[in-house]
Amino acid sequence: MRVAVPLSVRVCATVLVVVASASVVLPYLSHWQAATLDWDHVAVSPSWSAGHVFGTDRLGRDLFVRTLAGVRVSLAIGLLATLVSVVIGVTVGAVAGFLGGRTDALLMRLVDVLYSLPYIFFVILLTVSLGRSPLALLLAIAAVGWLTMARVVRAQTQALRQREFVTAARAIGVSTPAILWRHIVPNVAGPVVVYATLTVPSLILLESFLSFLGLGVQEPAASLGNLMAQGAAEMEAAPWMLLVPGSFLVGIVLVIGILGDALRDWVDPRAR
Amino acid sequence: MRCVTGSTRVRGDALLQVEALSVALGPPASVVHAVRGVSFTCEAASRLAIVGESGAGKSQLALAIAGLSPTTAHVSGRVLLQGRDIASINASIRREARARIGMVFQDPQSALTPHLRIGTQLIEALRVDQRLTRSEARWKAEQLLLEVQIPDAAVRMRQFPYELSGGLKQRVLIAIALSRQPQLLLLDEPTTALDVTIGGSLIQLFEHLSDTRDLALVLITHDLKVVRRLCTQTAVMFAGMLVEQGPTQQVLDAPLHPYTHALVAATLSLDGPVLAEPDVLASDRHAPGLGLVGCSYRARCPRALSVCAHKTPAPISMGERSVACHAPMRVEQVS
Repeated sequence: MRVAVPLSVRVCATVLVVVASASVVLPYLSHWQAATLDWDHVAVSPSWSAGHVFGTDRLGRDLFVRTLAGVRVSLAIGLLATLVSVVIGVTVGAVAGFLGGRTDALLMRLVDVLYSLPYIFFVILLTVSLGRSPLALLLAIAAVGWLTMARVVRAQTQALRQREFVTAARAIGVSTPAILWRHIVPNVAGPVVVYATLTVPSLILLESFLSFLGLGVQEPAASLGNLMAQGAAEMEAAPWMLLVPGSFLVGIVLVIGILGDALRDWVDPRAR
Repeated sequence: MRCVTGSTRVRGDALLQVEALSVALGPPASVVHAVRGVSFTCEAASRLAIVGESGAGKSQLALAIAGLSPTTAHVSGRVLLQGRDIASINASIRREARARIGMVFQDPQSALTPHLRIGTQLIEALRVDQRLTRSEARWKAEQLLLEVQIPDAAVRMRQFPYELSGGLKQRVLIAIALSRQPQLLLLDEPTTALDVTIGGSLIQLFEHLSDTRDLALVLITHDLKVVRRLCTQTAVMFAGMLVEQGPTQQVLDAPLHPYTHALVAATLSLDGPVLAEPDVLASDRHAPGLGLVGCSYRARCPRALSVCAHKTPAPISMGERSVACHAPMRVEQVS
């Protein structure tokens, strides 16, 4: 079945793909590296003539290259952490909601316990034991990201479990895992997609917050979070240091939001 | 080739035997006894109707027979299909027994999974316990759609449920119910959600399927006209119990139980008299779960005796029929 793709979706998808691939490719092609210092141009504002399109920071590092590197790190952590939390959250939520009873009680108490742990404490624990690497950060973010997803999916599953088509599937002898996977999970896809698109930006923000605290991505590596933190410190003298990574963050969040909306319409057959 | 009703009949090799089946729903504090000690027997290729008002426990009875009661329900009693217990601990016996029961639900709008194509759902049903390749299953699925008189089967296979009308969806559900070659079709108000002409053509289809496939039908309905047309046997259900069972014609033409009488009197017909005593059925509903002792119909019964308040009537056999009443009507004509 052919579905007309709206213009907004094409534009957003193009922007996201261009930014994401630029963030991977361009830093390698650029004259500057993310960590090279240009002593002749320290804290210059954006200019073509100096060769720094987005200017430099107070150590003379090229902000164009650093921002793209930051986009790469932030996007990767945001998307991967969302993916991990979707997988865990949907599995736990669907199983708990569908089976109910003791399984449900056990899984949901686990969620409650993890909720009640202060996640900063949790993240400190993880980064101390695993070292301050992006992987540890990813694990820490994913570990808290799936909790709300599990609750959303559980509530949806409990509602779906009552529906007649589930009884009908049981009546023809479809096994419980097959009912969950084929009849329940695709029906929660709408809320999951919507919630996941909310999760991506919030996890990107969580990443930047943790980086700001010194728990996340460490200097000299860049993420949108620590770039903005540095920019905020220089806001009055050098506004571009905040505005450049800031507008990338806003743009990415907006584009992902519009894509999520379109994806939800596509997942729901009645909206066709 | 007919339904033998009544709890005292021989067991033999009847297709379906329901023995003292009870279903209790809800938490212990406010338990609802939806089905209370229902027993009946159904022979192969026979057609039994279960009638009664909303809340009488008809649907819960059907779910319990198919082994689909909610997990929170407390089910007691036995359901045997050709001697195999549908609640057997032995999973293969249980699966084998349940495969012989096909179920059609009341609302075709909600009984098909909305995001799966018709063909996908049929093929899934076909492949549950039959070893079929995809193309074999596809071919069989088309045959089933043709059997339930859906034209353009190949086109329908690729469509989604929302692209089909209610009547077509119900036919698809019947095809799915037939996919495991059942010997018994449980029809839970299959025409209630559809308009009368579509419902009529479905009744024809059930008749046809019952004849060609030697299918036994258990039809749950409000519609006594459909019962007269389709079913040889009728059981009347009230407050979770079967109050009267017997051949359709006898039960509906000469009711023994006062409730059956009220039920029949409540049907309007174009050439019959205007409803004489409409208040009998319109009076307060019974409250299931309250008053387990005594006849649950006594509050609405014009013939209630003092014994009705403290003794639950047991089914009495009267010829081919049985009735659970202390003061049955027309005893003299029957015996």
